[in-house]
Amino acid sequence: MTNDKRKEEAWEKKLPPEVVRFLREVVQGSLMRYDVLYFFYKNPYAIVTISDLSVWISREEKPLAEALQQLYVMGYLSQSYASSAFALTRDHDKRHRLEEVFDYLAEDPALERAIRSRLRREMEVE
Amino acid sequence: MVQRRMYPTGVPGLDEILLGGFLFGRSVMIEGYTGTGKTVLGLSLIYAGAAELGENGVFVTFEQLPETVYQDALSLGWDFRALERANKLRVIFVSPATMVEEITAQISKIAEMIGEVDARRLFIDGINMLETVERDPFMRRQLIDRVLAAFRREGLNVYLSREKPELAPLGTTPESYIADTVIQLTYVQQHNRRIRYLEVVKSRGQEVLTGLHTFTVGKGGVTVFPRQKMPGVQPELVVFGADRAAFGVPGLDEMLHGGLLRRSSTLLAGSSGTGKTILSMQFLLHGAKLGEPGLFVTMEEPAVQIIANAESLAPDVQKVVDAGLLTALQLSPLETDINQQIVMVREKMRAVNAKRLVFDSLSNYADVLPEVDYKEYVYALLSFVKGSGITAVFTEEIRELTEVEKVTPFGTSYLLDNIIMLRFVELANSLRRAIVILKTRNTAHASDIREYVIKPEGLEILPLDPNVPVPVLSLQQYSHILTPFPTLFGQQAPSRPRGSRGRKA
Repeated sequence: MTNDKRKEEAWEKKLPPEVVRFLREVVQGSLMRYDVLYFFYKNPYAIVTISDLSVWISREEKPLAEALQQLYVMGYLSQSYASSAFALTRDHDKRHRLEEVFDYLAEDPALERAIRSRLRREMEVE
Repeated sequence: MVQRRMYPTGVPGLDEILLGGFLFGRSVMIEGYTGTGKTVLGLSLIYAGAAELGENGVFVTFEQLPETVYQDALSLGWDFRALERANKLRVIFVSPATMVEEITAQISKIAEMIGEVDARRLFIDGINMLETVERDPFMRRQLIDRVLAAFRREGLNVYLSREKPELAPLGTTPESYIADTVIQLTYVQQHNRRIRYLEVVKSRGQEVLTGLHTFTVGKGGVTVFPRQKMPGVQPELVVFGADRAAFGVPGLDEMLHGGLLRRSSTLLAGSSGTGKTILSMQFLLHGAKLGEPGLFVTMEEPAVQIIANAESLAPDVQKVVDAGLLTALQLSPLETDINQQIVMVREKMRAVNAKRLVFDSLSNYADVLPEVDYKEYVYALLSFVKGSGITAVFTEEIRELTEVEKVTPFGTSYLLDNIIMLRFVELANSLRRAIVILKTRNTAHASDIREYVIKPEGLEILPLDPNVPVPVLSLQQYSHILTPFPTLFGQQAPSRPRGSRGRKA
């Protein structure tokens, strides 16, 4: 096991298990997904199209569309019949889980930045 | 007959202007240049509905992310996230194009969110953003009609804000033709502060108080101060009874035949140092002794200083204050708008149940207001004081030390029922003080000029010397009767020194 890997595991141990689980199961190492979820956490009643969101989180549309689709499939987002725009799910449990994770991270901006950096590194490795 | 139902807005002061509130189902446009407070008024309307009136709301934003809306609301003292969690509010972030697609569909996310909170109020911030969807003004008008119709269908009272580019005239766009009510927000820079104004420029189907009304933005959102100066509106007719409010100053109360008639307004005019503030405080302290709460409105000194100064007049003044019988309120003519000040005085009068009022002094306004504004202000102030049924004393500083050309700077003395003048008089090589009652409406008064002194415990009117009889003089013995210098026939009238208005005979 490399030193980096050991460091990461030690760091992960500091996070509450539900946060680690959420990062593994939902974010799955994708900074794009993380950004999308973070946007909807901050703006829980946003109704946005892919092109709207690409402006607001400053990401390219194609990978963003993929992330939105994945989160829709996982049940974290819903899609409007009328406009094809995305919104956060009405599923109470999923909303609660999202809020719980990001409420925790909001308390510690340094930790939030560290997670973002780690996701960026993972993306670079890929 | 069709009943037009109104609902209160919940925004302090706004319902007074709207004579009760907005009409149900009518659309309201809030227009103004950047920074005039449109969004804050929208936040205020939505918050008041959701948090205070049981009318849940939806705030639609096109450009401002909800997270900044939550922060803005927090700065006003409102937790919008908590209201969302309590299912009383939704802050919907959507693009204009998506909103149009959503509201025209039978099943839509927007309708779903409106339904989740059973909303009754909806505010769209920046309706002019619909220009990005439809540039043609005629077609845009139709588009806005569709938007309004869609939200009305959901049973919502709709408020729209529209930002105007600088220098563009207000009220000439398709949006303002469509809305039932148009409120314009403006501001002017006065001295070092910005005064915000609100005006209802269009109000289909309902009467409103016209003109520019002041409003402020701060904790608690928008507070509107209805325009107080209303030319053409006469002050309430005051019927004086026989009951009087004494000063508690022997001699003066005798000159007034027992005191000021209750509900009357009195001007206490005099130059600096003649004891206007002391005498007016004696008026309130005497009222307090009789169990009549009094309000001292000061423009010159902090309220605590006014109370501290009163200790020599009444060593137990703090007890009087604690008992709610004496309250001081400080206003700043430079810092606060006059409409706001009148509302502040009115609310304080109500809060302390004041029976006596002292306003010290009107001359502070003469220094900062143009003549027309001053007259309107004094008129408005007296109108509400007369209507309130309390006995009021207004002080006014006369610039001249020993000679008086007029007791009010802009000829407003006719608005007051009584005028008492305090004067310095030059006798030999000393300055003495004299008091005279110039006018008392609906009652007689003494016409003596009486000397007084100022002691630590207040003004004391000196008794008339019984050994010096006042001669009965006939006007026929005098010439120059219509000048300030009546002269006995055979004597030479004093000449006026250059650069002065003369010396008394």
